[in-house]
Amino acid sequence: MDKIKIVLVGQPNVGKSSLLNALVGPKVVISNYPGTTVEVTKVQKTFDGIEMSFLDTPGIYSISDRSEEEKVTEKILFEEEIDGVIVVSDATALERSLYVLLQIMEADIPAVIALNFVEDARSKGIKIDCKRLEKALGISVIPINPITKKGIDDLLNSLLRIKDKKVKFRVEYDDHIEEAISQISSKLKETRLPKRFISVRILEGDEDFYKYLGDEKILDSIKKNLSEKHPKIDRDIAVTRYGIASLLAEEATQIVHTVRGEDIQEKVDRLLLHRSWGPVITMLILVITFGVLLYLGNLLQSILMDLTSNFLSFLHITGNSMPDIVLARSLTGLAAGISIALPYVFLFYLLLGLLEDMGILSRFIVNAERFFGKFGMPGKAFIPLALGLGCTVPATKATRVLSSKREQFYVASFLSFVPCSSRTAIIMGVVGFYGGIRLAFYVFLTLLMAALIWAFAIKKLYHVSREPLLLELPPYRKPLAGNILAKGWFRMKDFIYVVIPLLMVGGAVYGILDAYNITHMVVQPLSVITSWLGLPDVTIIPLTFGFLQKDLTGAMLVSVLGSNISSVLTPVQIYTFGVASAIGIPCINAFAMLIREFGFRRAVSLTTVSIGYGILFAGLLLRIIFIF
Amino acid sequence: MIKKEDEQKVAEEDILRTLGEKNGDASLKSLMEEVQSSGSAFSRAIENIEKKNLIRLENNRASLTDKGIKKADDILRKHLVVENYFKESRGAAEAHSIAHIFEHRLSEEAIKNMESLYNLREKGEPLLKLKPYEEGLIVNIALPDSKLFERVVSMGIFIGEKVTVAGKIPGGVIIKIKNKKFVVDKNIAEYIRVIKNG
Ligand SMILES: Nc1nc2c(ncn2[C@@H]2O[C@H](COP(=O)(O)OP(=O)(O)OP(=O)(O)O)[C@@H](O)[C@H]2O)c(=O)[nH]1
Ligand SMILES: [Mg+2]
Repeated sequence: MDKIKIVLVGQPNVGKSSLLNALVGPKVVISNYPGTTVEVTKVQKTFDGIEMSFLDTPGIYSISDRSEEEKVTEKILFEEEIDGVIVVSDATALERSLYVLLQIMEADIPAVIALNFVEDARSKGIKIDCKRLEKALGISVIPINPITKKGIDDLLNSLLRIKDKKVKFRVEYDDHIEEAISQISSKLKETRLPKRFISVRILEGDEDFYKYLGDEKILDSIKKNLSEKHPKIDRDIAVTRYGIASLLAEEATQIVHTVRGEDIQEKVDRLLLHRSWGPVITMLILVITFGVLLYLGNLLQSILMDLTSNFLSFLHITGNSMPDIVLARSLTGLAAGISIALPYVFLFYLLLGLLEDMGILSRFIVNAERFFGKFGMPGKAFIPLALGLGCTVPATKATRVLSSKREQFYVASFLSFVPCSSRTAIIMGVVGFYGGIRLAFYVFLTLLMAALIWAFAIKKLYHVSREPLLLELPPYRKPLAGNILAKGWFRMKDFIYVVIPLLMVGGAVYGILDAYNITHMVVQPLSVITSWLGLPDVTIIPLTFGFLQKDLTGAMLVSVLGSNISSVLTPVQIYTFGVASAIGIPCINAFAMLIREFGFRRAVSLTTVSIGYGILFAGLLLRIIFIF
Repeated sequence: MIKKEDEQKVAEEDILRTLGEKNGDASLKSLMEEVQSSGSAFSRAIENIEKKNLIRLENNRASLTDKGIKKADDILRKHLVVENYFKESRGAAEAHSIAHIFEHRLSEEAIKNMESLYNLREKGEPLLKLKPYEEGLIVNIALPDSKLFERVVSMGIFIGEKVTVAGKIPGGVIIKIKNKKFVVDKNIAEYIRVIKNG
């Protein structure tokens, strides 16, 4: 069977992931801000007996080796065998899309343009002459709409023929650059990639391509020869390329009418980006969001708790024999997962999706920058930190939007203090449920305090050079219910498939340990920690299980202390327990993600330091509380 | 970047301009060397401009007619505008070559804009000087870091674009260019030079 491998490329937030979902069905998360996709997703589907694979990539404005995401896309394009590229383009800002396209065409990779936001452009009075653009570039230009699926069939048809397409258009630079290109070309080793392209990359200073040069000294002498006329050749190349892109765009763009006056987008931005209104409204929206989350979450939690406990008593498991104990314990784990964690996770993702897709979340970045900036935290960190309120694992991955590994690690370290939904479930479902909502609120405040102290300490110890902020703000859009539900499901899927089974297994393991009376063997040596925290020795069990998976903490606490926790623990103990379990790396998955992003050593040190810090902090607070 | 169907037009304009530079008269051989187009495009171009009464052919030499002189002046002017425009940042010889690339494709209006931009670039002040909702024209982007320069340019923040400040934050500005909004660090904005509109 014939196979075709196609890569979707384009600037951030242009609709690549939307197009992927339109081509092959819902597979990836779509959000209305740049930097949603941070890794490559490959999806296969058969059309007309041809096996097509599509690769969704992180958005890029240009192919240069700046941020992590760009490197990912660059790698796919230039190091893998691919048959063609769909350059998803923005009809309202065509020249930018053409810039990337020109870079791709320089590598002799066949491409088609999928022209998105055609309707948006029309309402702004912009019309694109696709035929004219096709003629100028020698490639297909197909208007699409991933939401209504318009143009998808045309796109597929043209992809079926993409293998036979030859790249005709080529960017020509001025004579001196051209001469340098041919000089370098003549010195290059034989490769799959066109020599002209490699030479241009080398002249642009892309070090990944230096390896094709037999001898790097050649480059120095060529650059030296050029230095008189092109002291900054890399930017001359960029200017020429952008100049050509804008000329091409200008030729194909027709301004039908100009829009007068301010539209609604502008009016909203005048408020949300305002120096004092912006932060106020941001706080207001956040407070309302959390109010809704906590209120509805609590409501759902009590309903689900009733349901599950009714169900458990209906099953009537005695718990006398070993299999019975295991069954009972794992069902308790399941019940805890469904009633304590699920409501918060579910609601959180619906609310987050709403804020994301309306374009409000990215305005928060601006307002956060006013605040974060003081702590040396880049505003870009806002999205990963907000995602962290859902789950630490994708949030850790999302730190890739930051410009350097060092900055990325710095932001990731703060995820230790951002309560993910599992930790919120402990704070709300255990501290709030048994100790009162006020106590839960104190835990949240304590986390904030711990994070601020961490920020100050780290600012002293770990120098983070801040990359300059350069970020595009997406337009406000009408949220689509279907999309919010779909991505809510993608993000919750792991919780259901991984966490809930883990809760059942954890419950069963504890049942066995308990039945054979071996829990004290674990409890005894670690009693240093619990006594430092002023907690009963057995609470080390939920805390330890919590290192594996935070959701186990709540379930295990009920297992070791019985369901009437408020009669066993004092409010202060409930509070300390909440703080100690909420700071740190929340589960084994998050730990694995840290290893993947930062390597084993950094992952281990961050984990130990943050968990240690959490325990130390909770114990110290306890002592301070007792002084008063 | 030059398309096949454009090649002849480019050759025609180049021939006229070169003739203009040589006081209106040159041998075909030297013209052909100078113009650097394929032989067939060259002879078609010569044929065509002769037909349009822009040049006269005699003894393997070409000379401009009165109509041709006017046309050549016009082309030369365009060329010089583009060349001037790039001269400061890119050096004379290179600006000349860039002019070769761009002149044939730029519309009359774009050339005019370039001309005025060039005259204005000295007057530019840092983007940070604009107050919220003030509009300006980008006349220069003098970022020293080339990678950052490419990033800025590829995002659509380019010389000749109209820019409006949509807000300020302690670390930078929020700007709007062609319906797109950006948050730009002050360390970058400092190098983006604009002139106020109006
Ligand atoms: N109105 C409208 N919105 C669209 C269209 N296509 C995509 N969108 C919206 O544009 C936003 C961005 O879409 P994505 O598919 O996430 O963009 P992306 O290119 O994958 O973005 P990154 O992964 O960040 O690079 C989402 O809010 C989409 O709903 C369209 O044709 N019309
Ligand atoms: Mg995406």
